[in-house]
Amino acid sequence: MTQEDQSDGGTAASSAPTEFAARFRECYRALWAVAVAIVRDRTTAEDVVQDAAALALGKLDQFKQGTSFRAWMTQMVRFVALNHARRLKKRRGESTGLSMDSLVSHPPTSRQPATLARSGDLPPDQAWFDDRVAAALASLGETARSCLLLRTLEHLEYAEIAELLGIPEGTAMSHVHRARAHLREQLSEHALAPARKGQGT
Amino acid sequence: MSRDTASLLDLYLDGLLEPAESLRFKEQLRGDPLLRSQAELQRRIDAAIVRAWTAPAAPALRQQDTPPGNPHSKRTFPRPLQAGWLVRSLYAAIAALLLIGVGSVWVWMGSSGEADPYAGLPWRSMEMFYRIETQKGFEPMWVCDTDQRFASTFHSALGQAMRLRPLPQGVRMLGLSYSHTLSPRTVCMLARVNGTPVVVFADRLERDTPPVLSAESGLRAHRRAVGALVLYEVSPLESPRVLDFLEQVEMRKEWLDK
Repeated sequence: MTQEDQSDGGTAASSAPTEFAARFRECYRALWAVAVAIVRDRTTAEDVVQDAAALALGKLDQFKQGTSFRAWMTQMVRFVALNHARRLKKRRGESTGLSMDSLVSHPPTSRQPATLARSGDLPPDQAWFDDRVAAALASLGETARSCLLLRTLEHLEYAEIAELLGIPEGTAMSHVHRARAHLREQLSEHALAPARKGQGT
Repeated sequence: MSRDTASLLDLYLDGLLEPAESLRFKEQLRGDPLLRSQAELQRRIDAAIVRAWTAPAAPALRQQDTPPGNPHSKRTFPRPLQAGWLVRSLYAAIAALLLIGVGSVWVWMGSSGEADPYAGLPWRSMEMFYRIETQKGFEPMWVCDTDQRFASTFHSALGQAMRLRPLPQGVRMLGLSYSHTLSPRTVCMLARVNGTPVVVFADRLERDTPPVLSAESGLRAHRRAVGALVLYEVSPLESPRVLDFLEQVEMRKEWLDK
């Protein structure tokens, strides 16, 4: 059990909204990572976490003292995000901002990077690589993507990821390792291309 | 690469190998170029994920998201509502919104009354940043008029105070700008060396990603690690002219208000 989880007990957010606000801020990044893993769009992920917070505020009396606030909030975020993803699936099409979806629908097939259309700038090789990573991420399952993002972005322990997503620790680790292998496989062709320019001292 | 080796690589990158196993794997890495390239590729992938998908700063809860009257009017869990609970929740929600609103205004608005300078910045590579800023006239967004302010700006942005030692003749620090480059919160120092624009990008060491500069740009990148920060000096110059004048200093409490 992590330090945060232990401190969740006792005076946690079960009834005090100020405590809720503080706890919410503490775990916001992990919540956002879970949301973006499901909805695959930065802006939508922010909306989802906001919606989940509003939902959780209305359910403060259901939070059990002594349990992990972060895990409880994660379940809220997943509930809202999955609902959103289902709705979006029905009326598929638009997406805003940086989206894994737009990249998997139109994966970059040449060295013409997807960011060119977005920014109007001539991006470096790195932008193309980043787009390929986003496209490969989009091809992962939702749980694998959540595990990978929580591990890579938030550096959570596998036990923490498992608790947040309600899966066994070994499964969380397996998801991350398989996801990494998949990404390496997808990216290796580009990565091995001898097109590196620039240098450092 | 075999499945076992791939698995070992992941455990190694996770830091989950026993010390002896880790040493053995390092040896294996040294002698196996393919394995080494896979490890390097994984680091690049991780860096790309961090660049693109780092979470934004925690926002204030939006007012329209509070439960309007019936907090479950739009989304419901299969649990009956109770009137007393409803009233308590509503008051709690309003109080939370007020507190969060005041708190976030305090956090997001600096003493100067300016909004978060990083808000909404698009990602730019070092090369893009350099080119765009030089085209725009190479004007910094922020000028630190004292060493204390310089130190406290770095401390608040990157968690480590920095000092700029006196620069030699011909080298002039213009000021600071902000960019989403190594991470969404990269600090950029704009300087001129005998009139040539020079940008020094600073960020936390754990967000370090070596830059890729196109040959056409004519730019070079020079790297230094200073404490917990990584610095990249980018310019057409063959050697770094500003980097070596930047050093870590201990943050003092009295500087926070400067």
